[in-house]
Amino acid sequence: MLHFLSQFSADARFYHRLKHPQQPATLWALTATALRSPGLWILTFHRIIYFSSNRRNLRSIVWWLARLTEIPVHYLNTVVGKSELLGDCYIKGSAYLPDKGYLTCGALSIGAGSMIHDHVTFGYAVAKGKVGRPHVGSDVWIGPNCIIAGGLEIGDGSTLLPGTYLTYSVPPRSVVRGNPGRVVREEFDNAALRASLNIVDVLPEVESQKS
Amino acid sequence: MRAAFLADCRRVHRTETLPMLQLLKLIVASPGLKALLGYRLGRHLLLLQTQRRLPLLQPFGWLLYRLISGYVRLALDIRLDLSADIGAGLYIGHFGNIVVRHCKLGTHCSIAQSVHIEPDDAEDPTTGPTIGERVWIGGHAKIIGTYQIGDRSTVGAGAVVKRDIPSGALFMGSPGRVVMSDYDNSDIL
Repeated sequence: MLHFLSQFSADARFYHRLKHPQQPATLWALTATALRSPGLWILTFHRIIYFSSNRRNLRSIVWWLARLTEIPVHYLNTVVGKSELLGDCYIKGSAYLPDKGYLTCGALSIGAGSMIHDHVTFGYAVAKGKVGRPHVGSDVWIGPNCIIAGGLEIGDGSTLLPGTYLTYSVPPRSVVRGNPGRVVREEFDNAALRASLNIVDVLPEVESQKS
Repeated sequence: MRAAFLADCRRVHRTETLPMLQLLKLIVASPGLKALLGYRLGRHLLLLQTQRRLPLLQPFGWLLYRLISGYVRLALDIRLDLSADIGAGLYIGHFGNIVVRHCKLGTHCSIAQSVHIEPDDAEDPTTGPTIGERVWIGGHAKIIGTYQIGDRSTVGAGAVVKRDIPSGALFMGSPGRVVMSDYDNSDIL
């Protein structure tokens, strides 16, 4: 329970830093941010569902509490968040889930600091043989309208530009775009992308590749 | 319409017999079946309207249709317009951002999340794509315009259809192209 609350406060701080970088993270500001971001609701509700489906313990009151709240919380994720997350998807730390919703997530794990935008599908089995569920690394930036199909691994710090359809594992710090997706740049630092909620269609600086 | 809806339920449950309790459980659990329930009811009411049958019951039917389709549109964002002609046995995999209007879908098709099947409003706002039987359409696929898709063909996830697709073909990518001309989609359907 204490772990859950500290995790929630860390998530709220993460969202607050993304949305209002200038404002100090006072308790009042954090509450206002938490109430205003549906992505944080999806994340918190998913943590309850994950706890209830994976840490089954009939003697624990906390587990029973989570089990009872699982059904309304799952419904809220569907109706408010328009999202569908499988119960055993492990979100390792604070990650950004879309405020607009429309996330269909069958991933096995999502790393800390990752940013996932709206209309994203993980783990889509298509055209025989691509059955499986992906692992998403930490500090990954995934743009809107992306599809990640099959059991693959997205390396830490990778960037998936909007509209990518990814079917194979990509190494860390690479940039993928297109349908079918291909790696367009390697060793790209996406810290600037992850600092805000802005969506880019093309990569910001080309001169870094030249030098 | 009742037979068509039962065929839709069989796509989810995949058995021959379907008791009433099982049917209710399926409708509660599956977002696609809720959308199809509203759609089939609306189509049935349109049929009654043209045949001038049961005039006293029709307002209640339309009220029920408005309730179901409004819930599905607001909560699940599946928009199956009554102008679409959907064959029996449609399977809707997930929910969210599904638009189907002014088109013709054959029997035993599959669609998934973020699929748009609609006419191109800039060119011809009333005639949409015509899709054959047993077509599997992957998530995020966009079929916008007056295109013909043949029987037993497969449209991959994320594909943008800008041309006609022959029967039994596998179509993928954006801009899309036919990857395989003879593709068997019977085990994913």
